[in-house]
Amino acid sequence: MKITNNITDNYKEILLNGRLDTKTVADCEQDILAEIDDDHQNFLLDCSKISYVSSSGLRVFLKLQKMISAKQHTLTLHSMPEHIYEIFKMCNFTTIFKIVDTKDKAVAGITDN
Amino acid sequence: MRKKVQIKLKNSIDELPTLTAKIEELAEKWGLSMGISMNLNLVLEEIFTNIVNYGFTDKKEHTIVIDFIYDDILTIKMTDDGIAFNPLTDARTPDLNASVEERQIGGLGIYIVNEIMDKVDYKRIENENILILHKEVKNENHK
Repeated sequence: MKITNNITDNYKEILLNGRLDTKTVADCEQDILAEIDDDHQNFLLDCSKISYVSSSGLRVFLKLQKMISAKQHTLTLHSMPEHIYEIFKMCNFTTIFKIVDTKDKAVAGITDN
Repeated sequence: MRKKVQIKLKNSIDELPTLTAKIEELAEKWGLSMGISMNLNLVLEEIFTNIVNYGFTDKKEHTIVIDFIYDDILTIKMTDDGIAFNPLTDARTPDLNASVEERQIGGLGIYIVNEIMDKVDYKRIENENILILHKEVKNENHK
């Protein structure tokens, strides 16, 4: 699982590339959570290159959301592949997260606040 | 024609990539869709992880045997020689310090298994745990 980010004046975008299964999460969970820093208010998460997510991966997403809420930041997930979205839907996670189709919508959502 | 494949894995999370590769190989060979392949991966990862984490109390290496049988219905049989343990119900020791959300998350894996599979059965025979999962699947290759 590769983690990269890009930073603008308005937001920090985290990009996850690869699988989020029990094994990969064990290796990279702390690195993912460390991306939520205090230098930014608004976070985007580009999900386009996430190839697989199991319950371990969903747990990390939940931890991210809890950190975001505690710090009163915002988090928007975007560009989720269909099969990943299906898993979120199956587990009723679509109500817990702000999920939009495209990066443009995600950015627009921030500037509306 | 009935198709059958067996794999044996050690009781370690490091075996997950091997399991994934096997499922993908079978899905292609048996003409199963990518959606089914991914769902199987989810189900087997959840159960395999629970068996590895909770099914053994000694520090020894054990073997978990997985049989895949395809004959209109896909049947997966998981056998291990650990303690009497049903990965569908005995999966987690309750964490009394966990928040409500964390405890809900604890049941996620089992929920996923039940959502995806049509039927799941557990039994203990002599010193083995045997879990049998069924799912009706379509062959996409029309062979």
